[in-house]
Amino acid sequence: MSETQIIPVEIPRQTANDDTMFLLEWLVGDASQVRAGDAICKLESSKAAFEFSAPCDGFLHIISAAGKDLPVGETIAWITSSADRPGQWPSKPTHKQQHAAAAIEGDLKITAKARSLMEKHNIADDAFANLSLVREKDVLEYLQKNPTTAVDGDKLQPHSHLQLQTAKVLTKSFGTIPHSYLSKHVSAASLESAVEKICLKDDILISLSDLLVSTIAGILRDFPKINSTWLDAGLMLHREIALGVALNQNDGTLVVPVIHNADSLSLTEIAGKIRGFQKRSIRNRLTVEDLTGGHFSVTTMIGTGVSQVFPIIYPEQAAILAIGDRWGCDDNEYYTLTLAFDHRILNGAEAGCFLKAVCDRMLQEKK
Amino acid sequence: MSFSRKRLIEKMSEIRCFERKLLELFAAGRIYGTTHTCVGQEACAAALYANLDTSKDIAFSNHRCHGHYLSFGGTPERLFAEIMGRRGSICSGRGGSQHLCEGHFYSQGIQGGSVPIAAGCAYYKKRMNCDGIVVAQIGDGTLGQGILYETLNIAGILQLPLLIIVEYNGMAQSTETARTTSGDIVRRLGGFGIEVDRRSVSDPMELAEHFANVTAAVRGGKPFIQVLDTFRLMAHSKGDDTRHPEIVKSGWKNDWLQKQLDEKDPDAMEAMAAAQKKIDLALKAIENSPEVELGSVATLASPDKPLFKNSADLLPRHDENTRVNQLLNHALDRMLEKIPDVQLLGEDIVDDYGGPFKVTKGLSTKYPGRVFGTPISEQAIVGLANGWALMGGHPIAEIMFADFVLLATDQIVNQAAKMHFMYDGKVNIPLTLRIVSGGYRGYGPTHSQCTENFYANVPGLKVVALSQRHNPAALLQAAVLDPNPVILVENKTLYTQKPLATPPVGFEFIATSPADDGEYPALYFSSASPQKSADVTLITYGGMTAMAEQAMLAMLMKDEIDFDYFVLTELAPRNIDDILESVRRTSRVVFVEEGPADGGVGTEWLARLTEEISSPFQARRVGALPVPVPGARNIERKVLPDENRILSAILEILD
Repeated sequence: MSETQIIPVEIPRQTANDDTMFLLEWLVGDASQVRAGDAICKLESSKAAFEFSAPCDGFLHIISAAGKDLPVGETIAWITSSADRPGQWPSKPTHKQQHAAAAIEGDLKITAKARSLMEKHNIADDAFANLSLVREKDVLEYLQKNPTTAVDGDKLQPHSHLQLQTAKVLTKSFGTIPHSYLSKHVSAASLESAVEKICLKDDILISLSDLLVSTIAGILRDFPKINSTWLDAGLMLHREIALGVALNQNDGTLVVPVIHNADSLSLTEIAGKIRGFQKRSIRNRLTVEDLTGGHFSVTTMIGTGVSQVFPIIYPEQAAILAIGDRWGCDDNEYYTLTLAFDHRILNGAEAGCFLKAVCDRMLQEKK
Repeated sequence: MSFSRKRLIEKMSEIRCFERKLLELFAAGRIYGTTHTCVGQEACAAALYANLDTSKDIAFSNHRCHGHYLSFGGTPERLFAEIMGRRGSICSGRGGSQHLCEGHFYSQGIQGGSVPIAAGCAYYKKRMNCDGIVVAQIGDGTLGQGILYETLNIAGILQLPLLIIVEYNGMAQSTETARTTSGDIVRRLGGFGIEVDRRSVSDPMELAEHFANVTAAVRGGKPFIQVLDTFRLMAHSKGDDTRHPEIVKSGWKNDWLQKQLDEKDPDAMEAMAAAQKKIDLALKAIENSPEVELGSVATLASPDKPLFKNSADLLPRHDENTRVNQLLNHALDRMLEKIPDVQLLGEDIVDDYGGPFKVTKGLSTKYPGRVFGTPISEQAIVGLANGWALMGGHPIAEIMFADFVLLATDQIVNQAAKMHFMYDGKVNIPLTLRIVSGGYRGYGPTHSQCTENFYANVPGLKVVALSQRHNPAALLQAAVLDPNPVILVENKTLYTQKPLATPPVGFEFIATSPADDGEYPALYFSSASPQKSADVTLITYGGMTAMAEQAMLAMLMKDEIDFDYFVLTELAPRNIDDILESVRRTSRVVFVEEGPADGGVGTEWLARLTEEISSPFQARRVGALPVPVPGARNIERKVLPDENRILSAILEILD
């Protein structure tokens, strides 16, 4: 035989009254060999239960489990001339209810008026997941409850899932942590020269950001309150030095992958980690482990022309350090480091000590 | 039974005097309407009823019923009052000469109409082990009625304690019975496994003694047919005697009572004089009493307790994922279990078949003797059920196809529907008649019709319809407990569907309260909101809900047209209160039914709305084309209504 023959086994029309039949049980197993006329399953109409026979010889491949009410004409199994189960079954027009009495069930229904309003305001179907029918008034109600959405000419761009997640995190953080800020200007020439010296000495290529992260990793253990979490029960002082590094993605969202056990890594290793995060974030390959468990974060705006940044502390962290771009003129150029800290955990003096230590340590490297 | 010659002569004299007085009064123009006298046939009544016990036996008479009534405990005063429309009458003048109901005595004016009812009473007595027998009196004119033979067949099958008396006077109104009768009567009647006797009526004493034996046999549990050759000495009705005067003259010559008078028999002379006096006094007693008043025009009885608190009682249950035929089956099962006098009757309803739609499957096995698989005799099925109901029992009769119910129309329209009113509220007929209605199945012209419209305009009948929106058990139970005759319309497409417990998409259920205790409230759904009232009121029932809902959803999706949606429960009588409010708001109404719109169920509903609403409103009826329902699928679909026809109607009135 050149081609495998595939014959459908369909729910028969047994009585004029029944548009469906109940599949009581299969009398033969899946993939078993059957002969035409063999009883293969038991069906029940409104009148009686009866055995249903195989329409031809072959191998039976069951696709509908027993215990269901099925429409007349529905394919419940296939019989093939060879024992192998094909990867795909032949397509067949889907069963159509002959009677308009077909149930009105299932999918979310959206009226034409509602649909046009939703399109105008770019509202996704998901916004109405709790309704069975979306009407114009539902959309208007939604628009009223979501006042950022607006009138003619404005266009609503729906939030991405990630954006919604980020928003949730930031809102929680800014709403619960009493933020306070300290800044320090550091000579740009000194910092750059420190970086350059390290590169030349070790024959590696690192950035100022790498140096900043590495420096923090090295001194954080001296400032246990900076490496902590505020809990109602008390202050959780963390053992691990785990540093989050904020990265801007192309779509405008922000991710903060975490360098775990950062204090055990060399500057080169830290630089390598950060490079790896950047690559993986572009490909959306950051893992859950990459993105969780940080106790302190660093964010950098170097190269953006922005001189000073007031960052938001991540939830369950005590502080975040931001570095802006080089600013000033001629010989008086600076980088400004800003520390945002949880004022419940630290007072200004303690935080200032830490900020000063970071700056001093970075410059020490040149020695 | 004790009887004497003297007593028999007295009764015969009383009957004769009464009838002659009536004819006098008619001739004098003092009586309105009509009457049928039995002068010459008095012995039949007197001899039989001397052997009956009015406390436990039941008697059914016909149009010529005065003699029977007077023999079975009746009084000439009350009968005069009934015929002359005076206070103190039998049925407040509602029945008149032919329709009497007192104690266990019933008469009515349709030839053969009471025969199956009598059999139904006898069936009840037999199954429920009640004392007493049932007698049905007919004339030879009834030998031409099919219902007689349908009933004899069943009485033979069930061996009912039923005595049928044929008073053979040889004349059916103006037609000699011999001219309209073929074959031999005794052999004909003898073909049903029932003992038949034919004899001439001469000496009433002899006849009474004979009846003592006959009634004893019937009391023993055997049906019996007694043909009595007798002679009607006067007109069929009033002055319509077309017989040759010589024939009538010889009749008088042969009349036993007249002979006794001619021969100056002292008993007869005395009895006749006393009777004359008694009748004159009776007439005098009532002729100046006030005329009857119409009083209440209720044709329906009120149930002991409300059938429904509100329409939510009629909603399907969320936890039942079962087909309608199964749910009906479970409901019947529960009622057979709980109510001892529930009895099922119908064609092919017993096991193993269990009914063509399996509604009664398993019940005849579980409840032996309580499910009667009848012969194909629709009129007798309903008649038998009427008798069962008259006894206070709860019969549930199934008519396999609604087309066939037309065969039983006499029992439905003339008997079941009229009895409560014409018998002055003395009886209720708690009959439940399940009829399997409608098309969309390809069964062709005589198996696809919706016939409920014929019955939705009959006072004294309730017509209720099951739909996919109703809880079948709740509706069936209410129909059974209802003290009135209820036709339950079951659309045959429903049986394999499951009731829908969730309102249609976009709609909310709004509970409504019944206007009275006996009402079946409509189900009311609305897609309107407090901000915006509905645009259109749509009314439907039975098998049309799915199509109507599809059409409404399409309009809702397309233009957000809002609907007040009513699924009627009770097609008749009509309570339009809630619908009225809705149409006042929408000014647009569409009535959707499966049968033809002209003369359909919706016509009367819309007429009622028209009478009540003074502001202009638009109305449309959607139904089948006015032709019989064809068999072939494509043309059946063209004749029966579909979603598009409903949509067109909605669009038309929205313009």
